[in-house]
Amino acid sequence: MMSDRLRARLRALDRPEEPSPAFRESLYQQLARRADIAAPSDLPWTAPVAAPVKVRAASGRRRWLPLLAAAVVATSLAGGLAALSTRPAEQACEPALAQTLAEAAPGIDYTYTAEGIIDRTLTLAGDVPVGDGQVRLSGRHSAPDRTHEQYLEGKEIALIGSGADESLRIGLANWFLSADAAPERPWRTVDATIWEPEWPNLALLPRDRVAFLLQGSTEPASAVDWTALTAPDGGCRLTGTIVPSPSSAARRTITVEIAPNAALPTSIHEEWTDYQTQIGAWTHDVTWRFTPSVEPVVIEPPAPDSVAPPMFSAEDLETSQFSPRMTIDGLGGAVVDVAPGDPDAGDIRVTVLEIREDTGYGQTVPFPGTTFLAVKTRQEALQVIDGGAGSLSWLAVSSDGAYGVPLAAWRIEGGYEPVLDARLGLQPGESLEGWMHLVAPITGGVDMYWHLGGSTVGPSLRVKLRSDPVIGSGEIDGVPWEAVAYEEIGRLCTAIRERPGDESGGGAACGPRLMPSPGIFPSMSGEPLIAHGVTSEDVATVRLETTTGNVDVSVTTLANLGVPAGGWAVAVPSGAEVIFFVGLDGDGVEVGRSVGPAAPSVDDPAP
Amino acid sequence: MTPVAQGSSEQSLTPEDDFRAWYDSTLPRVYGYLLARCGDTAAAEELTQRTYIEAIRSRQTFQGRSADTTWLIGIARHELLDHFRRQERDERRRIHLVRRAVETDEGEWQASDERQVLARALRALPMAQRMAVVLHYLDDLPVRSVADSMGRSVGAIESLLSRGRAKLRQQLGEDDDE
Repeated sequence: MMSDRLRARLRALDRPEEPSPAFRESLYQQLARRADIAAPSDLPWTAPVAAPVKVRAASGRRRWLPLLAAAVVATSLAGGLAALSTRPAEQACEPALAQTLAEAAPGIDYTYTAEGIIDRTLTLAGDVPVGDGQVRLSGRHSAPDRTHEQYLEGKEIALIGSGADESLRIGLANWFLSADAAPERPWRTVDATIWEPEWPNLALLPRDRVAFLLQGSTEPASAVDWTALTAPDGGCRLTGTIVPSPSSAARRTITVEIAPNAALPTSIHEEWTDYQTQIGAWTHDVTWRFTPSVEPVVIEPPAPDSVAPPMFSAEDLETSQFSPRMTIDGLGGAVVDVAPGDPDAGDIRVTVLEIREDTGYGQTVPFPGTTFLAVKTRQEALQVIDGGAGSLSWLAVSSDGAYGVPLAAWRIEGGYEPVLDARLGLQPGESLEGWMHLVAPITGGVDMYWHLGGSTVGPSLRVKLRSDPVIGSGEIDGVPWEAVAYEEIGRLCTAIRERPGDESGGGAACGPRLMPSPGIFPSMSGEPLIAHGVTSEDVATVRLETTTGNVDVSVTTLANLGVPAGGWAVAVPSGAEVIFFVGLDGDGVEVGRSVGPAAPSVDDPAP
Repeated sequence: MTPVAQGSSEQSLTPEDDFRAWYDSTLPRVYGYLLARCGDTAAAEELTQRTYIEAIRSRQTFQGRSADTTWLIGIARHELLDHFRRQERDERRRIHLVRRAVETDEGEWQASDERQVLARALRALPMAQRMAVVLHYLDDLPVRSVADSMGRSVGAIESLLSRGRAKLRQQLGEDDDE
């Protein structure tokens, strides 16, 4: 039986393993402190004890402290708060302020700069406190160098597609563990990998907004029941209560202090009550104090391709992690099987319906070379999707293909959970459709691609920034075809496709991106026979000298691809064979030629 | 269960010695259990830590009816299930789709190609399938228990196991002889 053999093979995994000595010792030290091993009656490894466990003061030297600290920082900033950075000075202190801020159109022409300290006291209800300490955030946000977030209709809080990784990449901000918590290591950045996905996250929106998001959550801002109180100094105090789950008594109470004429909150206080976890009740009592500054920050444009950290090498991008890979050039769709082991499940069609290149988002101004994109996409389940497979995310790949950077999560306007998900019950025939708004921090341009990556068995979608110019079209035996020109890295190509936007079809012809003049780079598709290719810009017409006569085809300029070149495509008459491709200038004068399949050769000379 | 420090039977053990001996004797089993199922050292360490913290926190519940390692493994399984659930939620929310690959540390597995192959194959499974396979084939839980643990129907678990087997077969290059 396969099951038995499988079981036997898997059992090879099951054996004692020695962890690293560093981990072994570190954990021992933690446990020894926690267990209070000096008290014999407290030894669980010798006998069960009835006496209550002694509660000891928490020590900062905890392996998990940065993890917890980071979580608390994040949660203190979360809880359904909406954008709070653009409060007009004349804004009245009233509950609507929170939502008003969320809805306010970005228009403040300054760069957010903030520093703050969180004093944290985190106590695990019961016998053993988890620990306490401080977490400090410092830094500034000065670049649209991360996924662009937007607020969705219905005041839902925008979601962040990932957690700490992005947090650590927000602007120049970094999380630090304070000296109080780790004396031997006074300051260090928190390892992103220790963040847990359910923890909320902080997003600093490009230049003009600060938002507090529930990472990985669909908690709507409207769940916050705000009250407002004008402070004696003329400032405003907003108090909101969040009900995370109707089935739980858990509450988050958030108090936001906004100073008079301030553009940012000066403090945020958050308390958690009645939060039950598997190991007990969690209480949070956190204050986040801002020292805001609205002074403009000098923004230095990033060097091309140097903004994004090398998260993934080109080699990584080629690994199975991103396979099976499908490619959509420009607008169009392709099918990917996210469950290749199951012929009855996993087929998804991903279609790029529209790609709009924006010069900015709202009134934000991108860096030179930064591209704002709005990509309208549709994902259709052609088969049942289950098992969590098929979730999608985006990667931006640098223009030279050297590295990739995770970008926006899949986003559907006005809806929750823009993912393919069995629990959403996405069935064959159903689809999700919406816009993604992305910011490309690396050099925008025809060399850059967007990659849509998958999880365990993920699709990878490569999308160009612009739709490919059509250089020819027609219909043969009732089958429509079109030829498009596009760029690959360092090359200019043409290809035949069947409509609409299907990648299948004839072959591709490629020439150098910087084409010599005159230049004719022809190719022939299979059946039906279509000739196509790219030329230098001085070629206005390509003449096919065939065995049954000449066929002229006008060259379409490819100036919109930013290259001095042209493309052409034409169906070869039935029964004809191409002897030469001849390039003619605007006056009909031959400027160059290339041999065709029927051209005489040494082995097959002309009669 | 009282582990005795090796070579020290005639000595008067301090509580620290007892604790150390208990820790040293159980740690490889607990860590090995988690590493085999997680496939990466970072997660295994994190879950090991959680397991021991939880064990110490709830040590009054240990009645000595099972070996202390068995008791610890039971706690570890709960932690593992929570981990899997979080990972599954990640998958569904497409969080860190690629981070896992960055985190993956196969250092522990370098010594054994076979184990490395198995670990990779296991990691390649969608999380729900992986949970089901781990609980059923590695932990020997009946399908009904797996269903209870995962909050799904027996039919759903059987389906997950079927797909998990197929995927593992594919990954391991085995023939379908079932």
